[in-house]
Formats: sequence, C-alpha cells, structure tokens
Amino acid sequence: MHSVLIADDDEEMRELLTFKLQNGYDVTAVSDGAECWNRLDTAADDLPDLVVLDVMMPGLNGYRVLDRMDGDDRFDDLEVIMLTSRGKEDDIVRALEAGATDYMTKPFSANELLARIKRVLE
Amino acid sequence: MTSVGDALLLIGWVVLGYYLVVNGVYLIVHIAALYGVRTDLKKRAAGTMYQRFASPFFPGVTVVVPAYNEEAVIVENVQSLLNLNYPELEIVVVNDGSDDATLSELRSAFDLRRIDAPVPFDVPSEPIEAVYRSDDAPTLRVVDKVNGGRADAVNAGIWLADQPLFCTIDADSIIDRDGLLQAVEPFLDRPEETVATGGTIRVANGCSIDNGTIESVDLPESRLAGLQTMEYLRAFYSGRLGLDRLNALMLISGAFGVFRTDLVREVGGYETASVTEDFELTLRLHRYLRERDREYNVEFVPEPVVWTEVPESRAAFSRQRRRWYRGLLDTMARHRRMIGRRRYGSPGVFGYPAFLLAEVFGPLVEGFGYVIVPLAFAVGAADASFMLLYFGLTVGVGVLLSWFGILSEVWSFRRYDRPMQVLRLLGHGVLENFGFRQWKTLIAWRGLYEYLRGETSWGEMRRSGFDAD
Amino acid sequence: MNGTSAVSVETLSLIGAVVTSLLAVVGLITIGRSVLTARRDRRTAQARGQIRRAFLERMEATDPAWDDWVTELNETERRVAQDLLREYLERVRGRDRQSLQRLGYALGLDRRARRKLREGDRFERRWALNWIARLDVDVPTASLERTCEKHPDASAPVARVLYEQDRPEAARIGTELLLRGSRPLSVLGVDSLYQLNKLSPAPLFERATSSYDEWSESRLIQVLRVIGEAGPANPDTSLGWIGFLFVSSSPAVRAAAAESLVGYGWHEDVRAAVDVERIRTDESPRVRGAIYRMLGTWQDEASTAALLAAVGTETDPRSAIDAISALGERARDLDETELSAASAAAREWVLASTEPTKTEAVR
Repeated sequence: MHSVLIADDDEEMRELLTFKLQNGYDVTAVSDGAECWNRLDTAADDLPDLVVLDVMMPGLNGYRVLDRMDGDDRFDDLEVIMLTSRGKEDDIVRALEAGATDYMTKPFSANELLARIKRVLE
Repeated sequence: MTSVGDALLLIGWVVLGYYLVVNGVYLIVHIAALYGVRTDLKKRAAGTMYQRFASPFFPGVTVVVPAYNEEAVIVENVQSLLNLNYPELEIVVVNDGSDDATLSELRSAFDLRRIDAPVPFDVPSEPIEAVYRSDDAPTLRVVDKVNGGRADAVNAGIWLADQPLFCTIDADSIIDRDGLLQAVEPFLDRPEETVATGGTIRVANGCSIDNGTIESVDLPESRLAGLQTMEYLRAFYSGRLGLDRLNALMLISGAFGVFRTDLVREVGGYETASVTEDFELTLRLHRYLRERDREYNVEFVPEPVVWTEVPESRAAFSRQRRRWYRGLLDTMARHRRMIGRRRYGSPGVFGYPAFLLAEVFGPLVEGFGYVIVPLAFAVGAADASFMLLYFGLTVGVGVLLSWFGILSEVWSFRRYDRPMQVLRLLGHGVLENFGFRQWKTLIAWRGLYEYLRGETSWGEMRRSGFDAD
Repeated sequence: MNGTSAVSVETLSLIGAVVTSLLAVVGLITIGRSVLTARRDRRTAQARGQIRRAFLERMEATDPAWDDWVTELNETERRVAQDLLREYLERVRGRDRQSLQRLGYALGLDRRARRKLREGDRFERRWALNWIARLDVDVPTASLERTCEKHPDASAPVARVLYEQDRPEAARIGTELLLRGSRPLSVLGVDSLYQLNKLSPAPLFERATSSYDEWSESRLIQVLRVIGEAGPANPDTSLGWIGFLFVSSSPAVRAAAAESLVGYGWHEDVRAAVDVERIRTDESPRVRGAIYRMLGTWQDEASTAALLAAVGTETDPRSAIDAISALGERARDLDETELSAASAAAREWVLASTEPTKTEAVR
C-alpha cells in the first residue's frame, strides 16, 4: 500500500483528507510545516510516497518545505501535491518551480484529488 | 469649623463630582462597547463570501518590527510573524542599532544575505547601514540602522515597505495567527476610506507560547501583571471599542495597528520627538484628514489580539506609565487646537475633551482627592458619612467599570474562557481599587513633574524572553 | 453643618443600595454567562468528533438520508452539524458539495435564509445571502434585485450569489447591481465584479464606457483595477476612453489608468489613444512609476525606447526603480552615461535585490 503524508494546519482538512484516503492508502497527518519537514528529514529511508502539502502553516510554510526538499536528492522520488487556498498565478508558478508535482486549490474536489494521486503514484 | 476646613470639604465635593462626571462618560463608553460587541458578533456570523487567498484585490501588508536589544525574543517573534495566516505578507525587521546580538541571531536563524547596494531613496531616519534579505524566508527583510529610537526605526521600515498597508508590532508581542486577516477587515469593507485600524492588546504574561504561537491563554501569577490584565481588558478592549462606536477612537497602539503606507509617508511618518508616537500619529492623522476634508475611517477591531509582555516589577511599571503620561501631555499639547472644534468632528468635539478630562486631569484630580479628603477628615471638616460616601462611590464605580469590561469580554470573543479565570478577573477588578489605582495617580503626578521639567527619556523595559513550555 | 452629618444616612444607604445592586447585576450576568458558555463549549467539543464521523460517512453515501439523521440530533448536535456544514462547504466542491447542500436543506437553513433576507438587518441579510450562495438556494433573480433596491448594501452579496450560482445573465445583472450609485465598492464588490467579468468582460466595458465620467474618483479607480486584472478584452472593445484618463487632473486616476493597461499593449485602440512619449513625462512621480510598469509589459520598440529615454532623465528615486525594473535584463547592460543619477542608484539596488537566492541558484 502506498503511503501518504498530509500536512495541513486546518484540523477539518486533516480529518477530511484522512477520511477520504484511508481506504486506499497508509495515511499520516501533521499540522505544521516544521513537523512535516522533521518527519521527512529524519525518516529519509522510510519516506512516504506522496505528500499533500498546504502552504499557509505555522513553523514552516509549504513553500519553505518545498525549497528544503528541492535542493536535496533524498527527496527526488517523493511526489508532492500542493493543496492550498492560495490560487494566484504567481503562487502556482512558485510551487511548481520549487518541485511540486501538482497543484490544487481549495475549495477542492476530493474525487479529483484521488484521481490525481492515483495517476501520480502509478 | 474653620474656613480652611470648609474649603477642604468643598474641594472634596468638587473632586467627587469630577470623578462622577468622568466615570459617567466612561460608563457611556462601555455601554457603547456592549453595542459594538453585538454588531461585531453578527458581522462575524455573516461570514466571508469570497476566497480571500485567491482574490487579486486583497491588500498586501508589510509588518514592520522595530527591534532594539531584543536578542532574547527576536527570532521567536519573527517566526511567529512568518506563521501569520495572510495572503500577501512582507516582514521588515528594523534593527535599531542594538548593542546585543539581535542582528546576529536573525542572521543565523534566517540565513540573511546583505543587499550589496545603498538604498537609492531618502529614508527619513538615522542612517541605514545595510539591508538584508533572507535565503530561508523570501518575504523577510532586515534593516540595520543607527540607533534612533522606536519611532525612527518604524519610519525606516515604513519607507522600505513594498505593500499598500503596513502593520506595526513590538518585538515582544505575538499576534494571533488570524489576527492580521481580522485587523484588515475595515480595509475590505471600505477600502477607499479606511486609513488605520487597531486590534486589542492583551497581556501575554501567564500564557504559554510555543514556536511563536499562543498555545493556551491564562492569567499571570504575578499580582501586578494580573491587575494589568484586568486594566488592559477595560481600557484597551472595552474602552477602545466604545470610543470607536462613538466615532472618537483616539489611539491606535503601536503594539498592533494597520495603516495605509502612502498616507503615513505623506504625513511624514512617526514623530521621533514623541515618547508615545503611536498616540501622536493617530491624532495627527485625524487632524490631517479633517483639515483636508477627506472622508476617512479609523477603526478599532475587537477580535484580533496582540499579546504583549507587561512589566512585572514596580519600577519598570512606573517607568512605563510615567512615559505614557508624559507622552499623553505632550501629544495633547501639540494638538490642542483640535479641542471642541466642529471641523475636527467627533474626535475634536468628544474624543479630545473626554481624553483631557479623563486621562489627563482624571488621575491628577483623583490623586488630589486622596490627599484632601483624609485631610478634611483629620481637621474635622468632613465627617464619617462623607468619607464613606467618597470612598464607597469611587470604589463602587471603579469596580463597576472594570466589570463592564469583563462583561464585554464574556459576551464576545472569550479568550479567557474558563469561569475560574473570569472569577479571578472580577476579583482583580475589586482589588485594583485598593492600592493599585492610588499608586497610578501618584505615578501620574510624577509624570507631570517630569514633563514640566522637560524629561524625554523612553525608559527601557527588560525582556525576559517568552516561556517555551 | 456642625452636629449633622454631611450626607444623611438615608441618602448614603440609597446610594449604597444602588451601587451594590448594579454591581450584583453586572457580576452575576458576567459569571452566569461565562458558566453557560463554557458548558456549551464543552458539550460542543464532546459532540464534534462523533457528529463529524457520521457527517463524513453520510456525505460519501449514495443516499445520505440527511432528513432522518437530522431528526435524531439534539440541539447541540444540530449546532455542531451546522458548523461543520459551513466549514466543509468552504473546503469542498464537486459531488461532496452537492451532497452537503442537501444537509443544509434538511437543517432548514434555506428557509431561515429566505426569512432573514426578507426580515433581517444588514448583517442578517449578509448571513442569508451567504447561505443562499452556499446551498444554491433558488431565490428568483428578480426578487434578489428587489432586495438590492430596498437595501443597497445587499448589492455586492447578491452579485456574488449570481456569480456563485452561475445564473443566466449573471455578468450583466451583477455588474449592473454593483455599479449602481456612485459609492466606492467593498473588496467583496470589487472581487465579484472581477469574477463576473473575468472571462468575458463585455458588460463591464459597456457600462464603463458609458458612465465612467459620472463616477466618483474612487469608483473609477476600482473599476480600472478590475479591468487591469480582467483583461484581455476582445480586440473590438473600445478602450480609447482609458486614454482620455491620462489627462485627468487627478494623479491617482492617471496612475490607475496606466495600471489598468498593463498587458494591453497589443490592443490597437489603446495604442492609438496613448501617446507614450507625452505621458512618460507626467509631472507626478507616482504616475510615471505606473506608466513605466505598464510600458514594461508592452514589450515593443516604442515602449522600450520610451523606457530607455526615461532612465536617462528620471530624477525621482522610486520612479527610477520602476523604470529599471520595467526594463528587466536590458537594464543590466546599459552604460552608466545613459542613466540619470537616480536611475544609476536604482539599478544598483534592483540588481542587488534580485540576485537569486541560494535555493534559486541551485535550480
């Protein structure tokens, strides 16, 4: 089973995503960017297959997490789907340039997210 | 009965009458605050109908943080600002010639890199030595300048700001994560007219703070800080909300205010000669805009909170309050032409006179009363019934006003949400009338004395750093 | 006064009684309210986890049977369900959203919204329109328009409802509602105007062309901002009127006109109406800055030539920064002799500030 790490500071987003993904994936959720980075950084040999990453989070925001992963070859195979309420062109470009696989804006369709995850992981 | 005794008693009655008038005004203000709370709750319930984080019309904000010898708290403070939930945010920290490790702490925490060119435009502040940007957090810049005081440091930040709005915050304060989103509300409702907004200031002592975020809210252990918690609730929450609803908001605290960048540059920024530059700027904006007949809005937003560390030692408290009082006198004197003039609208007709009566003369007259009334009693001019009336009324009305402040709190956003905390606050509302208030009138008299002697020092406060639980 | 007390015992006790009872009332209300709300919070928090689980499961189900569920809930649970509904409708779209909307009906929110829209005050109307948008409640457009006639403050939320529900003629009617009167709009109003017009801005341009000269300055500036974001207009759209705004006596309007034409360099009407050489020497530094930003996006010979001329003469340091930034990479190679003192300092600053950061350099 593929594993997915969810990083979102919003409790309801974590609940919703966990609920939606729990049947097909091994899901873990964290609530801030620093925690997300720590988990990735210390468990480099046991990385999740995919991260669903929010931008506006305490600790480190999503862009900064991406920036840290971007210069690091341990994370070359790690897929990142951004899921954020920031929907401006510049935000999307910034994330994709920093190595995000895909970008979705909130409000989002869970079915669409599931389809994208499936495509990315297969 | 001597004529001296009669005179003393007469003065006693005048003082009591004065006290009742002033507090009658306060009572109106606090009742207005309760109405304000009602509208704010309804407004909040209505909700937002558009995607704030995706709208190209959401105004960007530059947060300006002046820092003088803040090595203990600066990194945590900047971290807390980076955590703010806000779509378009820039942070400018201004190191005001600190002699401690403020700059090097920032440099190592955020990977600062010097911009290798002089600032190409004039900045009305002490010389800027360097501007840094951060490799780690692209929205952060740090300005290193020669020491010039708080107002001077904020001015440097305002002139370097890139966003249409700027927000000032003290390095020892922490804004709620959603605080800025809430504080800009009036700029969203009336974008063309709103020029300045301020949030509520509360006491951080006693709260537990982790990674730049308030984890849980509690009352401080220290008696002095506890009394200030009560005081802040009454004056900086309920009081300001009430004045705002009466259209006479006179002060947006430097500890948490949002302003239009171009307007503040236009009026020349903060006044560096003032020791309460935030109050001075608010009055100056009122004057400037009224004199130009511009339609404008200065608004207090009760919900967003900045948590600030208050002094726990008596000496530091007294220093801070003497400075506030001197600044108050200085600012009121500078803008004395506002008084009672219709052209200055509600701030001139109601706000200024109310401040003069209540904030300037209030504590002086009250302090005077504490000397005269016992004296009158001692010489036999006043009897026990008068003493009882005098102290009963001053204490009773004092407690009532404080409790009104707590009622607004309980009715609205309830940061102190446990009944035990509310009970303790009510207790502080009683306790502050025995000793604390009297002491504050003494401080006001000392402040007056210093003002007349022309003292202009700021009086520093030592930072102990936040407790990381 | 000798022998009698200054204040009679009766007066004293009366005052004492008044003050004490006032204190008692305020104190009791405060404590009472705090106990009650703390208890409500506790109950809400306890119910939340369980209600959320049921809520999510039913959201997934083909037949959620919301009505049956809602009848089982007590008052606290209903409140939690309503809170969750509001929060989730802000987060999800697609199939889940449709399912949740039916929960809104089961909770009776559509009826309450209709009622508050008729009877409520300003904030209750806003609450009502927000739920009408969220739940896709079918209130006839004509009736919404009548609400705006009675209460102009409802125009922006109503326009938003038309947009969110994707009603026929939403752009035309919404634009009309928003631009009635002459007051400046709220950010909700400006954003709605943009959303309604961003794909085909015809209604906005029509309305602007016919009434721009009647609007207040702030209204005009807001519309210009929307035009700047909404573009690109159809090549046949008449934009010449924006050219006239460069002779406005207000620097704010001139600057807004320039900002609105960012990205419109290809439009013939605009090119014909804008005399680049004349406007680039505007007397206001702020307007010049905006014009430089506009020219920077036009990217053709005439505008580049104008920018190159500008950096030779510009004296205002902030406008010089705009001019240098507008030239982009081209500014790097210019000879010092081609730059005014302000532009030279600005170039040094802009180049040093935009040097790539470490992570960008790695990329």
